[in-house]
Amino acid sequence: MNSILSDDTIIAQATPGGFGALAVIRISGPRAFPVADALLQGNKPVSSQESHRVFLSSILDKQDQLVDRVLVTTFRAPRSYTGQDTVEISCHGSPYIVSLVLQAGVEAGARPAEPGEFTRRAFVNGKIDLLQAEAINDLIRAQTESTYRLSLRQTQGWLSKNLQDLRNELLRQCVLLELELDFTEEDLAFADRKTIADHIQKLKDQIDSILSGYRNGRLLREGIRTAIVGRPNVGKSSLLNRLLEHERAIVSIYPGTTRDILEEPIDIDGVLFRLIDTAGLRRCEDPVERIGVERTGVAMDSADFWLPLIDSSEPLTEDDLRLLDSTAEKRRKTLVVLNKCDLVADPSILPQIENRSLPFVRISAKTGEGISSLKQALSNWAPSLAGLKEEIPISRVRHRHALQECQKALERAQLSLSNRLSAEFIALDLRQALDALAEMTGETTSDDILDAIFAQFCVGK
Amino acid sequence: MPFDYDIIVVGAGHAGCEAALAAARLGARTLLATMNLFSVAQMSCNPAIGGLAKGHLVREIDALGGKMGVVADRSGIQFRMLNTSKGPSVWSPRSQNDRLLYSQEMLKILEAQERVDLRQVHVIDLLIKRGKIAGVRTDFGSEISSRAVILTAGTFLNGLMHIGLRQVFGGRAGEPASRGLTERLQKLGLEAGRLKTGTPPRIDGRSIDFSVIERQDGDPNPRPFSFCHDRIDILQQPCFLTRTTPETHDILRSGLARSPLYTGVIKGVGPRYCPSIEDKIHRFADKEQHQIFLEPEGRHTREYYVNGFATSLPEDVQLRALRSVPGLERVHITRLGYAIEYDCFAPSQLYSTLECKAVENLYLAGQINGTSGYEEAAAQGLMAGINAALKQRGDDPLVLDRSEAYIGVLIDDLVTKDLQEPYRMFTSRAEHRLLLRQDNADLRLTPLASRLGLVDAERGVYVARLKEAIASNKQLLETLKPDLADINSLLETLGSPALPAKEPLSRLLKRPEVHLLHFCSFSSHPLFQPDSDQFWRRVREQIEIEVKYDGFLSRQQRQVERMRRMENVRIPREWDYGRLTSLSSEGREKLAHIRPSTLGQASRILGVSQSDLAILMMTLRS
Ligand SMILES: Nc1nc2c(ncn2[C@@H]2O[C@H](COP(=O)(O)OP(=O)(O)OP(=O)(O)O)[C@@H](O)[C@H]2O)c(=O)[nH]1
Ligand SMILES: [Mg+2]
Repeated sequence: MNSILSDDTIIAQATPGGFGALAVIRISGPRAFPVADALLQGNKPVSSQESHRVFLSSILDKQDQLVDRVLVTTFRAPRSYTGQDTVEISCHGSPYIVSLVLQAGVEAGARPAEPGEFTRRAFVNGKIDLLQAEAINDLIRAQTESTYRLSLRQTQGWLSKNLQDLRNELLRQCVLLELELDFTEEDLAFADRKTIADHIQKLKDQIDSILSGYRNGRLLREGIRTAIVGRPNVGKSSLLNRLLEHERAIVSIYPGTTRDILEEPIDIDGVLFRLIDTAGLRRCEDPVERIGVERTGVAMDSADFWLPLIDSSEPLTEDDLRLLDSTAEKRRKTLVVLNKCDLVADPSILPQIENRSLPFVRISAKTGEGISSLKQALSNWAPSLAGLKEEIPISRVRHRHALQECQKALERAQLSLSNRLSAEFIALDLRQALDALAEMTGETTSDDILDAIFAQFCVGK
Repeated sequence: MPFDYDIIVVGAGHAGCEAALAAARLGARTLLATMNLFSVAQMSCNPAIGGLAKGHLVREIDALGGKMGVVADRSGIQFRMLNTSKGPSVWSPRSQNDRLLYSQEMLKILEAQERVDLRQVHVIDLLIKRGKIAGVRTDFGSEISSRAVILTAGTFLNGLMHIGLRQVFGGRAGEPASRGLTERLQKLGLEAGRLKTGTPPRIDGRSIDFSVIERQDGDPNPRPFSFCHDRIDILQQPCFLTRTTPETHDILRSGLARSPLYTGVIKGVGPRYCPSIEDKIHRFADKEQHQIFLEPEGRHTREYYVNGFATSLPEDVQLRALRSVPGLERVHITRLGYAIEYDCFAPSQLYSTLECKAVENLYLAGQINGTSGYEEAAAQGLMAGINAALKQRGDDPLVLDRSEAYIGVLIDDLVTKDLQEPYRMFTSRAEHRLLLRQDNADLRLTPLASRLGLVDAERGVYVARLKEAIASNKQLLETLKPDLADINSLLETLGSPALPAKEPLSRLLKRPEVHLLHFCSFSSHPLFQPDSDQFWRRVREQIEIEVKYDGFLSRQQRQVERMRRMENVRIPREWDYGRLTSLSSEGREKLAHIRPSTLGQASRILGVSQSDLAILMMTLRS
């Protein structure tokens, strides 16, 4: 709600979200310079810089590890896009880096900006005229109205469903407390504190798991685990080496060369992938190779993404077919890679792939043909793999922020409960928890609480 | 041409009386017109004032110079402070009242108020000149002119009472309905709605078997509503509690075929929080019994009000059902329960001052605005009276915000939200509940009232002194560090952990078990003395609350400050929403209809989205 007024400091990615080479993060508001100071470790504090200066600086993470070298531009009010003090940071366009910077900005006291908010401020501060504003009004409206729905949808139904469940449960607890306050006179049995405390604990656990199990977060931080799998000798290790652009794995003409799992990080268009080279899949007698195959199974299970590799110069074997079918069974995101396209292709392969409606690319690990389209495919798929889309890093920060606020309020409610405070205090804590969720779900409370009371309880004389 | 009056108030119920008194106190020559001068300030339903959240309203009305609290104190025959097991913010005073005495005491106050004329007339029409109100016309054709009119017609507009499938026109049992005004208001562009409410039967106390039912007494030390009173002198009386039986429910069910509610005869919407007994047994069929309170109607009558038994079932069913209730086996009904349908006007057609958007200088207050309850009515009457008079004086209006008073919450809800059912106040409606306590209503509001001349100067001075004493003594507590040994021996008797080193009293007081009175032997300062006067008792109470709940109170204070930032952005009345083509169509329609006076109010309108607000904000700043 406070976003309507422009007296606080906001932060957001100013360039379109996604995976561009560079991202610009804009901080605007009265505390833009102090927030930038908290974010950046340069030779001079940002706040000591004059307007319209461009200089290099660094962003470190909590462990003081370098995250990125960045370019910083300062704009002092009123000579900025918004008319307020503004700092722009250009960093690498990796969503991981962007989300780190945004998160750090929020921790330094900035608020994640609403869509269109920079432009709104520009207008309010007279930086653009009414005509321009009228023109962008529609834009803002389209953006803001779709934001809640869109961002909820984008982070995939599960978050939105989780939020709705959380809210309903919180509302239920509020109802029990309000009942005690507004309907003491009634002939009703009131909920005991133990039950309410249990429910609050459950809610907290739920939020904890949402916060910590944030799939996107993990994927962005740790990289998308991508397993290169296939029967022996199809060229898995060759592909790994090709992608890494150096001879990391041993390649040989003998099937069963790779016995142990190899894992290597690689940056494709700013997104971190962890490539896993595995032992060739086949039933075998050699005990060492069998251990390798077992490990491959484990690695495959923990992978986010499979690259089943096929030697396109030979007909598909039983092992190949089993692999292709298991991708469907395990519902794993898959991109079939048809290797050795430098050789004559076996005509029976393609129909069998298309039958299973599996996406595929053709490459040659040996010549490098098709590698760039494989990379392109990987980077195109990264957003959906990580549950990311444009602008999601922003709303992600907002979501996390809201959930953390909700969590804090629940902790206060626990404290109030353990201090045996009366219902109105616990109700205040729970209301604040609800308000935090409402930042995402955009719903009101007091009427909903009364509605639920009237629907569920026989009250009134 | 001089006007006969500055302000005419039509209707002398709880809203009308407060409206007329407030207007006159602010200097307006006021006429209070009512159809029956014998039934001024009638309690049409239960003979009680206050209760949860409503008690807050009464205290606030009193703090603003209204008279409901004073009259309730003078006619109260049982007082109870509700919710005392909870924290101070949800304590709520409630009283049982002598119905007749209540009316008489209010009449006395009206007659004593300078500039108020009383007249028994039936107003059937409004005089309009150049789109503005100009006075009223009575049923005998005479015209009375005025600069402003406040309509407080309660349930009288086209009132239709139902008992079983029989209907009688009337505004209240024994009194005729008011006809004509609805139609007039509709012609002026207002949209009418229809609501329903109900009341239980009254019974003869001589036919109650008191030996088998539970007696309920009030508080041993009744606490008055009014900040001007420090004691209650009237003899206190008990209420009684009994319960329905499965047989009662069977009888009630057998009558549903002749229920105006269940046969669809009644079209008006009733309040869900005030269900009839037939509604309760129908909707909550598995509940085996329902509480019934027998409340005395007064000191000099044996009539009892059967609280919890509102019904519009036919007469024979009412009687048989009551007789199946323990203690009422031989009961005699003196007045039947009934349902009443009446016209109301959705208050979204009003500004926050309660002035009609369609007709200048016409104000609507009370049940006509779709509220229920005497207290909600009185609060609106008071504010309408104040604002009508301020406007005639050429002064700024008085609009309380949601963080200042329950009255602010009430009126903001009314003029902003869609009315779905009769509106009743609940503490949960007030998002700043911890700050809006009944104990600090005068601290919150009397300075304002005193500035406007709503209370006499003395009261203003008293509250200013009180505030000063609270602040300075709170500071004093921060400097007082009694001897460690003395403190620890006191703490030991209280079962509270000992202190390792000296601490200021303000810190000690944060412990729930420690109270200022515990230090009475440490200092002779009146703050610590049990026999100190009312003034010092108030100082003590406020300091204890402020110190003990400091964390929560300052949290709420921060919320208020955040809210204020939106509330402080004002929107001109004549703002042209049609011009803002970027608004969503629903948002534009709602904004144009409600015409919010602040951005904060706009944000509370259902259907106005974040982006609508953003656009509104942008254009407001340009
Ligand atoms: N012609 C051609 N040969 C290839 C290609 N990719 C790999 N090879 C050859 O295939 C053989 C096996 O390659 P590896 O990369 O060791 O195969 P692998 O899948 O890792 O085998 P295991 O580790 O034994 O499971 C080597 O002789 C490679 O040179 C390709 O694209 N074209
Ligand atoms: Mg290998």
